[in-house]
Amino acid sequence: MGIIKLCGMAGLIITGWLVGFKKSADLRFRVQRLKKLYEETEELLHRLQYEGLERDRLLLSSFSDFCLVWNGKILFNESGLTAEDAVILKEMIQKLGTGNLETEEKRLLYVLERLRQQESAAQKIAVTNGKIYQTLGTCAGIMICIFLL
Amino acid sequence: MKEDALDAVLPFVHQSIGRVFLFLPEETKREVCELRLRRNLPVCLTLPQGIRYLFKDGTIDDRPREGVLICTAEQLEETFFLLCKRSVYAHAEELREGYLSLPNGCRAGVCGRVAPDGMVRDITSLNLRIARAVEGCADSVVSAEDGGGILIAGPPSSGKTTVLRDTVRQLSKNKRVVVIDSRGEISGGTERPLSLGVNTDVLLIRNKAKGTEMALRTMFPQTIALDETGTAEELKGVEESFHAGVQIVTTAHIGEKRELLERKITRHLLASGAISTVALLSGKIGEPPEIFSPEEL
Repeated sequence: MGIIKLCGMAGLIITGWLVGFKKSADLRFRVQRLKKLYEETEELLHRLQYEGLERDRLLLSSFSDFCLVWNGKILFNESGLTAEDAVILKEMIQKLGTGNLETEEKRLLYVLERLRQQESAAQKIAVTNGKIYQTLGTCAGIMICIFLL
Repeated sequence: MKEDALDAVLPFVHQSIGRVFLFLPEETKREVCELRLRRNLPVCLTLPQGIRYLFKDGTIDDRPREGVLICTAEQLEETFFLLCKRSVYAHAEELREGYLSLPNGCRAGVCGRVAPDGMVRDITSLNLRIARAVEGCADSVVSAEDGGGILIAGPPSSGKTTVLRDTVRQLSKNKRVVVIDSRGEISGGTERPLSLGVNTDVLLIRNKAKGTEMALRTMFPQTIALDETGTAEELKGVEESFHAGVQIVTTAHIGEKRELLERKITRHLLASGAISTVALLSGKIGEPPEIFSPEEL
């Protein structure tokens, strides 16, 4: 009976830790996705400058992780991004192709700047809040064990 | 059913306007030469009979009245972006010259405010020209040719490019022809090319004079065809080709026959000896071109 109780307690603590770990992994995943978004936007800018491809071909060749062009419509992949990040992504793609090269360059450089800020903020959050979530998860597991005892 | 050239253009038109064409009789659709969209004004079609207004129920009339289809500013803007394939930056050079290339050799003329960078902005009108390949329309031109150059002259929208296209198609049965196509109007571009014969090479290049030079050096043509010889540089290219023993087939904007000698470029072109046959188009449907030699002028 004691062993079962011990295993149950350990299970609760591990579950708490896992919940915290999952939450902190989500934060790290967001950083990775923003990094990828930054890289693909940079590639998009370079292709726009040097290849001058039309919008759909440009998106297919350098932006495949975040959107898909299907029958002239754009389907977005927002996984790992917050609503705020998704707004930047959508605004960028919806405005892409409406101006001349100079305007497009300026607009993309501004988007890159915003993405860089988002990424550094996300990085800070991932470091500080990640640890908090893991600790909180473990503590919550311990608390539940104590409460049940 | 064979797709008409108009059907190739309609996907680029705002869907609420394009939808009305579903109700238009097939016969009328086949006759449409131009589709004109103007901001907050009725949608116009240019037919051989003249200008016709398009109505919401798919009917047409020669004067606008209640029920006429109006092109709103939003519809015009959306059509413009569709014509640019939502990539204005990729069509900047074309827009600086006031047009956009479309599949099948069709072309959209663009009007609006010309910005300091030369681009057309705040679009107010779009004119979608429908290009059609009419096989056999150059029979009289080809039967009159004697191996020398051919000048196809006529007023705007008289079918100069259509006759040029068919001339190329027929000449290519026996000769190596290179087409210098600055706007994709002769060949129909790369996406949906029009038939130019089995022995024709197409060089899509904005600078026709440079294109002529490139074709002479690399493709060893027997005939070079180009649309609208209009600048001194292009004239020089034509003369060089003539002196290299290459037959030239070209077109020129001419209102009347006498203007062939009044206009500087055509006068020089005829005097250079590069042209031995002139085909003058009247612009009237079904009327064969008037064929004569420069000496007869």
